[in-house]
Amino acid sequence: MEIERITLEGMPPVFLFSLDSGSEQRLSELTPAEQEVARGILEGRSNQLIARRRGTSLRTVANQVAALFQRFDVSSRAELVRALEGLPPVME
Amino acid sequence: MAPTLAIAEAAFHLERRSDVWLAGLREAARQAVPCARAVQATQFPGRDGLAALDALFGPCDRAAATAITGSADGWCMLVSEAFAEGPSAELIDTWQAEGIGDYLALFASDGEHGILLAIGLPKSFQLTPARRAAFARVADELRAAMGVRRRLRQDRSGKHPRVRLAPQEPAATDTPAAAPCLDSDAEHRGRMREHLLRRGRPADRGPETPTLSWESLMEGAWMILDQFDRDGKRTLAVLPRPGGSALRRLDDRERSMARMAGDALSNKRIALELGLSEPCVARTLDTVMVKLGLRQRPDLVRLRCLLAERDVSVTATAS
Repeated sequence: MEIERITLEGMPPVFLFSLDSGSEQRLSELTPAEQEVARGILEGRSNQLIARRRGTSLRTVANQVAALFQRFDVSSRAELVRALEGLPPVME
Repeated sequence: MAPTLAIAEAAFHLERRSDVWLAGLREAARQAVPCARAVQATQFPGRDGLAALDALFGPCDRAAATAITGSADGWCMLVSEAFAEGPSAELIDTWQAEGIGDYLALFASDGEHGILLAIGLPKSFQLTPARRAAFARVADELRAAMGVRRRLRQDRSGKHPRVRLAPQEPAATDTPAAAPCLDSDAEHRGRMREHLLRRGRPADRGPETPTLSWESLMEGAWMILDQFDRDGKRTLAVLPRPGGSALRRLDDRERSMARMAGDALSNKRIALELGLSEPCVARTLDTVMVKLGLRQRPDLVRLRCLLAERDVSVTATAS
């Protein structure tokens, strides 16, 4: 993980890092359309917001999200985020 | 809260009694924060509330304060554990003897004078979203009363009574053009972000940083200052607080919930695992999010994905 250390006058160092841990790899395996939807889910956006940004209907996005759930074998958005970042689901 | 402040304002205007206004402000703060152990309201000259904070409480956490607001003049909601030496050592001793663990400071300045409100909080204080909202309301009242506006362009009509804090001055004619106006929060953050991204230079040396790990995050050792998108990636700007922070430390129950939520378990599942009700889990997780400084659940999941498997120490300083 790359951490950037920034200093400003009179302040202790502030650290910048990206929240992304490994989603690029998995995202690249998706079609561009799926990628957009997946990125939206990673950023925590609602289906409606994703649909608006893509200019498609809500139902299309809902279907695409459901397809992603199936593809990664998850049953919730949070699990999908975890799967996209490359970690297996937590078993208990 | 509103009636108290209005009455105090009226008293001030009618009788030019700033002590009454300060008392009203203290009362307002007490109502907003019922668990507050002590409230101190002081006037200070000039715009630098941080200097006033220094004078009152000893060297304050300037870094955190300026990081939040991007400027030293204006209002600031600062939460700090920095009770250090200073001219008001007695006050500090008294507060610590009363079990005050942290304090919240709000200040507003109209450019010439300012008001500093310091609210001492008990050690067991938990920063919940409701309380955060209450602090924001007090800060808003303070600013409104000072005639300091949020939106630069819109409100120069002088609808809010402009309160002059130095009673010796004659009733001055207000020059609306001279009214210093605060930008909105978003603009402040935007400026801070610009600072961070453009003017900050990579640090080549410095004190040791605490390791960025899930553990240290649970201890409150990392304060998330800002989140923004850079090159399409969500970037976090964090300030390390070595040794953790009493206000941001998660207790055992919050820790286990944070861990589970980070593992992408649903509230329902967490409730099942811990034997609690779902609303209870929801409420606690709200607090967790506030403490960690995150705004949404996927961010917590991603943070856990990032940190859970490994500890990260600062190795790279990018340009």
